[in-house]
Amino acid sequence: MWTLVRRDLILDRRMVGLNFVMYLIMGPVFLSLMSEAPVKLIAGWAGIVGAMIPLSLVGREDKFKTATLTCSLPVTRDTVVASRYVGGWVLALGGGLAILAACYGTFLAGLGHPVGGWGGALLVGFVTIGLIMAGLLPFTMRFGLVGLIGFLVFTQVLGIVAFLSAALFGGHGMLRKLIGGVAGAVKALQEPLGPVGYDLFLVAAVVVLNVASFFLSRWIYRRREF
Amino acid sequence: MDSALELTGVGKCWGEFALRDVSFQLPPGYITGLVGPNGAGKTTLVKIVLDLVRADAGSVRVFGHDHRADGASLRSRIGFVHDRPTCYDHLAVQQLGALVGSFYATWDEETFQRLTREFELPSRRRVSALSRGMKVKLGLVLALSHRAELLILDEPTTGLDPVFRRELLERLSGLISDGRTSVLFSTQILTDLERIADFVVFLRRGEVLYEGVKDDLVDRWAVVRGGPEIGSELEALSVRGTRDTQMGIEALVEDLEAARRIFGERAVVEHATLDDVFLLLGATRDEEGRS
Repeated sequence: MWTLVRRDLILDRRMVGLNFVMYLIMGPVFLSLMSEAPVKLIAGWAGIVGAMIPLSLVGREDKFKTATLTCSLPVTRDTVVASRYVGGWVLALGGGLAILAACYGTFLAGLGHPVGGWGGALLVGFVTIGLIMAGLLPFTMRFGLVGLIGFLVFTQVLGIVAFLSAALFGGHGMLRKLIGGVAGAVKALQEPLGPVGYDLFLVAAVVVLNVASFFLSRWIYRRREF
Repeated sequence: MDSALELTGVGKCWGEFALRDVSFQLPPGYITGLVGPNGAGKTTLVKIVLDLVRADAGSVRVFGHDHRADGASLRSRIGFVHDRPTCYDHLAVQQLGALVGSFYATWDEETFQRLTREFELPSRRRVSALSRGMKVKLGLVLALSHRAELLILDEPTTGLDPVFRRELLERLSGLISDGRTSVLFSTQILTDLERIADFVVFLRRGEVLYEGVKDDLVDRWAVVRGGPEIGSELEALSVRGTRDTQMGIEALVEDLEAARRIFGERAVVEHATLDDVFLLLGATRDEEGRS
């Protein structure tokens, strides 16, 4: 599995490096221009950027049609999927942390004005990465980069349609209730679990989601034909 | 000794295309040519063997093992060259070798370097800058550098210059001299087959129409050419394909001697060439009429 992870890093080192450099510059520049920068929002953004790096890496294999070569190598498809998740998490966490560190450095240098504490920032970043990886990796493994872009466009259009129809037909409250209900249910756990227990619950939920996503990806990839 | 490759009743349905009940064996230490027109199912079959495509029916055994159950370890003993070589194009030849080599316990770096030189592959050049022929060479170098016992080549000679084609064929012939390496070689270029294949498998519209020793086919099979009146007499022979011609009928039959006895001077009876077999095997006069 590590040979595959190493291979991906070698193959896509330029793309990965370019992404890192771009966001490591972009983050601090934007922060220095903002009057107020909520720390948790920055952590969420770092998580999104971190998670997109491995996703685009998986998508590139589809774009260049090199999956045929990968699956002709002496590795099982399950190992290919495992390497995507392990390598993906390493890259996403590494990327997210590096960007977060760069933003922190920006504040330390006196540029930008952070709002809120850094305590929960790591957790926000982690949960963001976990949700994106768990949700989009199976999809990317099946449909590639074009499919991923298509899916993201589709969800945006779906969102617009939902909000438009809510505005037109008066279901706005229902949509808000639904989203608020889910968020509220998760937040409601804060009291019985306590702050540490709640954080651990979120981490565990992300892990469980990713394990489920891994098994789904494995199921999908075993059936893929090239 | 186990066959290097054994397919039994393999089937695959893809819309209108279907591979039906494909069965053949690849004895160890021989070259088998997989022949068929475009769309016959050659590439699909190769992909099924490599588990890139799943068969709907039948079994594939490589070195006596189920090709899916032991996939990874079996693939370490297989070298392959795809019809459209897909590589990591932005890497240099040398880098690609190092990368692919890291997956094989039997990788021989010395062989890789030697073959790269012999095939005149510029080791520092990017794969994207190589011609198709060069990419095929690279694919072959990669396949040979991990001492594969089964080489699967999907139309490797298409698009190659005659000099390298001949060199490639000689090299393949040399490879099997150790008695342990086997080659499955899909092609439409029949002269290649005539030169090196020991066994041939003819595929047409997803069905195996002939599987056997190439020399048997060339020595024993015949083409009968005559006027329309020979049609009824053909029934006495084992006919494997017919078509209408301007002269009358052209038929592919299994027994040259029997055909000569039956027709004497009334029809032209000649040894069948692989070209004849390619053209006539499975063809029917009704089909000619339709087209």
